[in-house]
Amino acid sequence: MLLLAAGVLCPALAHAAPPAGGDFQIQYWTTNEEGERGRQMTQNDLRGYVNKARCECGQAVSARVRISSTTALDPVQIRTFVGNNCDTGQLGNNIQARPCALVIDDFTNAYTKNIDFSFNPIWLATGISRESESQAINTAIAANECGTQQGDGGVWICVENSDQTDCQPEEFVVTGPQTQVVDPESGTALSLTYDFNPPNVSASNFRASGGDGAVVVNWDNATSADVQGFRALCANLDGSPVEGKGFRLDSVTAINNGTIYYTADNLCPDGPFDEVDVNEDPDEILTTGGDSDTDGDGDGDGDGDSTSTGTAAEFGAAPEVAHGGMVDGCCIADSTCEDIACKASVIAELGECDAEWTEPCAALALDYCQVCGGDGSCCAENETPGCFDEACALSVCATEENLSCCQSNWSAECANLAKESCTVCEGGTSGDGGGGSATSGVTSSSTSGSTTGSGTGTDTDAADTDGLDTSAIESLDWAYVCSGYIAPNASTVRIDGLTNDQDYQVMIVAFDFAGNPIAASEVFTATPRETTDLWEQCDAQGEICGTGGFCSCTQDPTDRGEGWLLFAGLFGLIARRRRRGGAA
Amino acid sequence: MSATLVMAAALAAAQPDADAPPARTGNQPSDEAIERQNTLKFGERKTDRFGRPGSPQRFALEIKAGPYLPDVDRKYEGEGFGPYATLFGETDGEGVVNDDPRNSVMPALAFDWQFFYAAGPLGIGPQVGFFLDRADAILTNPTDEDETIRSDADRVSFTMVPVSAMLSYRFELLADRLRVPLVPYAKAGLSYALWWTRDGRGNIARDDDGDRGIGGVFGFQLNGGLMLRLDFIERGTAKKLDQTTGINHTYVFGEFQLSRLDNFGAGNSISIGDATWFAGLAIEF
Repeated sequence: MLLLAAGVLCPALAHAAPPAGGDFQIQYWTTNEEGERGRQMTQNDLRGYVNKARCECGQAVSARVRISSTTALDPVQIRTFVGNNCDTGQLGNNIQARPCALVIDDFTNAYTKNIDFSFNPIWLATGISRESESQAINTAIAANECGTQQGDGGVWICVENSDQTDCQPEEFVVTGPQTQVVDPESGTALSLTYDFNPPNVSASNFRASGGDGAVVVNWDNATSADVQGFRALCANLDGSPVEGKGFRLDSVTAINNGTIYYTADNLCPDGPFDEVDVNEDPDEILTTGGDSDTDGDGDGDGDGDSTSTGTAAEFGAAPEVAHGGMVDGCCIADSTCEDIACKASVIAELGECDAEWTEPCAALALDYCQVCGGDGSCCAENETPGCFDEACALSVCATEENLSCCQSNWSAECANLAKESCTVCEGGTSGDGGGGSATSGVTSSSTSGSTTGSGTGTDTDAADTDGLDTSAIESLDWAYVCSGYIAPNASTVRIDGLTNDQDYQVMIVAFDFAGNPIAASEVFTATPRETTDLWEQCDAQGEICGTGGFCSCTQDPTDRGEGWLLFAGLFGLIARRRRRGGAA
Repeated sequence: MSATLVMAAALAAAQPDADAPPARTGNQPSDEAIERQNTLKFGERKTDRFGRPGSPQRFALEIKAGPYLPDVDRKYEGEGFGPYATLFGETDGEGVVNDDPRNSVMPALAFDWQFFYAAGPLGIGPQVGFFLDRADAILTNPTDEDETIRSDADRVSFTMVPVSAMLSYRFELLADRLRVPLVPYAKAGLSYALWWTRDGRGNIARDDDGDRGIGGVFGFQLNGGLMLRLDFIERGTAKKLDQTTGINHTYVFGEFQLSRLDNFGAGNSISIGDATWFAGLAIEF
């Protein structure tokens, strides 16, 4: 009515339209420890700047939103959010997509100028908690902490164009992937990617041998698409860093070119730059957003269409069932799936799982539902239900007496069962070099053995680190970095600058483009050994190779001077012939 | 009727003769010019200034390879193996040398400027070769626990690049005049060989005194061999190759090479010559 009246009074407004997605200009910048804006994000930054370490450190992303259109626009209410799948999450009835954090709530006119704001990277990966009393980013409580989420996020903008007060999914005109940076290959605008998930490493069979003042590590490399590179770490036997080694980052806003990994302890050793209240209720949903959209239709329900499956009434406005890890039993045949969203998705697809949760239902849940599979190691005790390898978790939880492994926590007993039955635990990862890693576990390709890397010239398939404190090097502190960047297709590294006959702890770390690290090998020991080369051997056997240098012609000839005589004769002959020719 | 016949006769007179060559316009070259530029003169044999058929022949290029083993241990008179064999020799399972080193392949490139002809070209030009040998380094202090005395981590190497200025003579008279496709030849020249040896870290090796394992030695080199001129396989093709590219002849050849690279025995210098053979391809152009 107001607009109608305005249209009568002002004809120009009568032809104006509400802002569309293309009217908005969105840019992102990095920030430093104090939250001050650094450089504008490049293509590489958008792809790999927001990693788990930056999330845990709360290193903010700075953004600018404005309407770039020069045409007259309706004075409507515009809300700006940060997150992913904000349209689905805004409904508030989707288990796996929570409402996004609200940054700006203003009218069109405010957006005609630059609106600058910063946000904690955690908001890219998670929505607000159900316990949160406000959706405003400054006071909201995050539903999840920085876990293993990954996906595309960014600024979402909702333009109110209906009588309903809250943003409706169809009112989102900017849906994350709208930046000024365009992918040169696809020609589409790039989104702000967040990746908190370390890569899967397929390198295996690590072997160390001692060289002259060096340790050489070799491994069998099966390139993983997610691995961007490796770094070798080394430490003295007592766990202290090796003098002269280590890595220093120029600044926390240094360009991310995929050559180093990040951990929170390295990036913000004095504590987070910024902190967000995170829901501490263990029954809160585990993941939200990008990861949950298994069918790629954008709605996160996995049914392949573009609308959420079921109604709010079917889901229940505020489900009271637990949804952590595999607690709901959706992923186990012949159990009861209590995750309503997961169950609805599976029923919609199969249509036969309502009465009995059969094996096909559980198998589909594995594909569709994020509640299946935990984050912890299968081969070591962890506090979360289930473990990262779904097949292993299901095999361990197959019997009723072991169901608690997937319902409460992955106890030592569960880990032992996994070691007996799961291929991911073959080769053994127990001990200090295995499950004790500060990262999310050692890959199943970790080797085992009991020999030490004494550099005897034989490969040392692994290390005996019994009794050694390897926790320091396993912290992945940059002080232990002993190599330059190692390409993902490499299978060897030489760590120079070490002292002969001194034992060292060594390990290999893999990381993805965002810099999320994972221990590719367990910690093993190796000892540099002095070696002899030809020059030294010549010296030892009586200077057989002479004294080197580029000219020895000033020295006195020995009794082997026949060569000089031969050439003197040859050139004398030529000179005589030329003289004769000239005389003729 | 008569008018029609007259017109037809006039038209026939105006038509060119089908067998006659096309009339030449003002922009086309004259017969004299065509004759002057014609390279396909039948019945006339083109020769160079020495009376050899074909285009002028001034250069020769050889690419060749052969086994090589620098005679580093030549001066060693002690028991067992010399230092080079100790590092690069054949080893048993424990890394201990039990036989002399194997030859490595040395590729080489030679070039001649043929400046005089006397029953064959006399030429002068450079020859460059390359030699590399590598082996696992020896542990300086092996222990009883070691399964081998060799290091898995370190490899040592010896590299040399001999450069020679060679005077050559190829007796081509038989091949040029009597169509016997064999060309014996001989070369002699002065050589200078750069050499260096690397330690297990990949650096230029140093001994306890800090002396670096890098240098250069003078010496001499003699080559003698036989070339098989390939023109006889298809003479027409060989002639066309000469006409179109200027390559007079192509060869396969084998030769014996004696090199003595030890600063002519002066001072205490390394010896890295060898007596060996090479085989390769050559062209003259």
